[in-house]
Amino acid sequence: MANQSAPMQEVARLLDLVPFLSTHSHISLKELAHEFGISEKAMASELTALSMCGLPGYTPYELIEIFFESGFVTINNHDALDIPRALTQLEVASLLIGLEILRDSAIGQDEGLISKIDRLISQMKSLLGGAIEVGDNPITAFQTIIEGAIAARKSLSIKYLSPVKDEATTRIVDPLEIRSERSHLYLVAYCHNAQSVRNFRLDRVQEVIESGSAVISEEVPNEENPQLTSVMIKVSGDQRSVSEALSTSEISPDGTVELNIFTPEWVSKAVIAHAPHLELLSPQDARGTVASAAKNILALYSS
Amino acid sequence: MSRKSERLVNLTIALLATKRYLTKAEIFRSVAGYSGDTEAKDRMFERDKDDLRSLGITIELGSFDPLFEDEAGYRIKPERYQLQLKDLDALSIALLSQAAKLWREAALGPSAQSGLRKLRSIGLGADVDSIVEVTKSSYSAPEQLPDLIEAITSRHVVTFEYLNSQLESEVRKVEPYRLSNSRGYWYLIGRDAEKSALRTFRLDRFSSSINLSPKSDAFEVNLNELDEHEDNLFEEVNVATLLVRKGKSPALRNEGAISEYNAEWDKVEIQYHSTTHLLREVLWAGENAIILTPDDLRQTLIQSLEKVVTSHG
Repeated sequence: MANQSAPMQEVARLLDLVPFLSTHSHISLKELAHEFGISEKAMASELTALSMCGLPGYTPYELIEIFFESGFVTINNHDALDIPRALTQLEVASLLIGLEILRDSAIGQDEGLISKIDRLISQMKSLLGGAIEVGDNPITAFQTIIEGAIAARKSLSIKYLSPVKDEATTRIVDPLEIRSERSHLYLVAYCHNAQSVRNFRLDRVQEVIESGSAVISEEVPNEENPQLTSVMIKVSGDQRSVSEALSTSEISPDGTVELNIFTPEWVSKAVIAHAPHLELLSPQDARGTVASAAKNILALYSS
Repeated sequence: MSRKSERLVNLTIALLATKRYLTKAEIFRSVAGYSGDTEAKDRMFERDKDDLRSLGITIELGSFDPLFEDEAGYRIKPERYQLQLKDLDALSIALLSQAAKLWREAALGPSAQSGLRKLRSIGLGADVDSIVEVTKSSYSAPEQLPDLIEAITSRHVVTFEYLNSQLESEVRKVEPYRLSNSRGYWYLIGRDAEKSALRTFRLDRFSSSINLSPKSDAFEVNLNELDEHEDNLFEEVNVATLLVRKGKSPALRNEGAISEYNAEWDKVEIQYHSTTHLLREVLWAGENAIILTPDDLRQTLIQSLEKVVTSHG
């Protein structure tokens, strides 16, 4: 729990141990300790403490009875506490978000399961009273397919919205891994069209089809960054949104930032897209590209 | 094991088992672990009540017979103590286990596990590992999530550092109302103490951990104001008309209604709420998109590009 002290975590465990033991009679100490996420030694001492608790009077007749029989635990005389406790809001929220992810992953699988998950989700939501809302999830159904292809070393045909080309293109890729970076998930894959390793942002992937063909990417070219170009940019105005869009946090106090990039066309596009807040300082020839790109767009407005 | 944990368990048992309200005197006399003079016992009891509340256990104050002015007493109502979920079957438990396991070591992992443990105490077994085929990458949530959920549900004011638009850390003090998740980002909506208005904060822009003020129930949520704020956030009030070159700019096409314009261009009508965001998308499209209306958007774009031409000339 968020900011709960160790003694309070103990109390929570003691209260939860009772109903758990009552439905898991003769559980091994080892398994029980594992279930509650503490060591066997700590569990043994908590069970001893529990055997000191009971109804007022605290005669053997009123105390909770704990039996250890060759490493197996049984509980007796525990009626008052024999109730699974209410879930806390944090527990409900954690389970709810988990269920939402599960439902997204289940798309395309058993319809009955999905409606079952939906029913659990609405039960959980009613317990939270609108304090937490889980919208569209970052985990897509594609992720399951992609992971399957990584494991089975299959190629994929993906339809990808390329921000540089401004088109949805279909590519054949050999998926290598899914990586999470700065709130986005990326598919790292060897792209047969580009003949090198590329990162694809998963939220820009529109379609994934297993293309069956044998994977050749076991020998992925080692030079991960074949032609990295260094560019200098000066940022004015909203530095936060620029740093988020360029995935960099290294903007120096005077507003300059150095980026190492794969695709030179991308820089020109990015400078235009953030107009007028970015200025490309170097390389010199790329400055001309930016200026003429801006002029070409302006020409559309003068006709 | 401290005597305190035992005292709290004993207090819980006594207050759960009783059919009537127990007075403080009865509690001090019968529940093991209360010692010292009356004042010391009183202090202990007040702390114990707070501690149990932090575990989600509510101790109710009431009197046995309202017609007599007898001393008020305390009890825990079993219906409020026990698991709120009814009619769970083995399949539900199995699905919930799988949901809990998605967290693994992530920020919400421990609370998902403790929640699952309570559900497993029902004794329905159902220890199936996977029913739904799921992604293997463990899901990660912002590390601030547990503290914020705690703060929202117990109504603690929070302070944290937040990156402003110039990437400088600013201390913000907020009454947290609601967390929401959209397109991969988590947002906190709450009342900013200094600005005295509702604000939305993106969790990946927090530059410190969350500090919860000690006082719980420190504010009330104004639901009308909250709904209004969210309506304003997501209501798409403006409409822009664009020309988009045929076969290009799928991103812009996905967002609007497309109609035929001429052999070279399609007309796309887009509803938008952020000028900055729309301008950026149109500019990403470069020579493949033109803004027709509204005129001020068109002028902003032209002026921005003229500045780029000047600075890069």
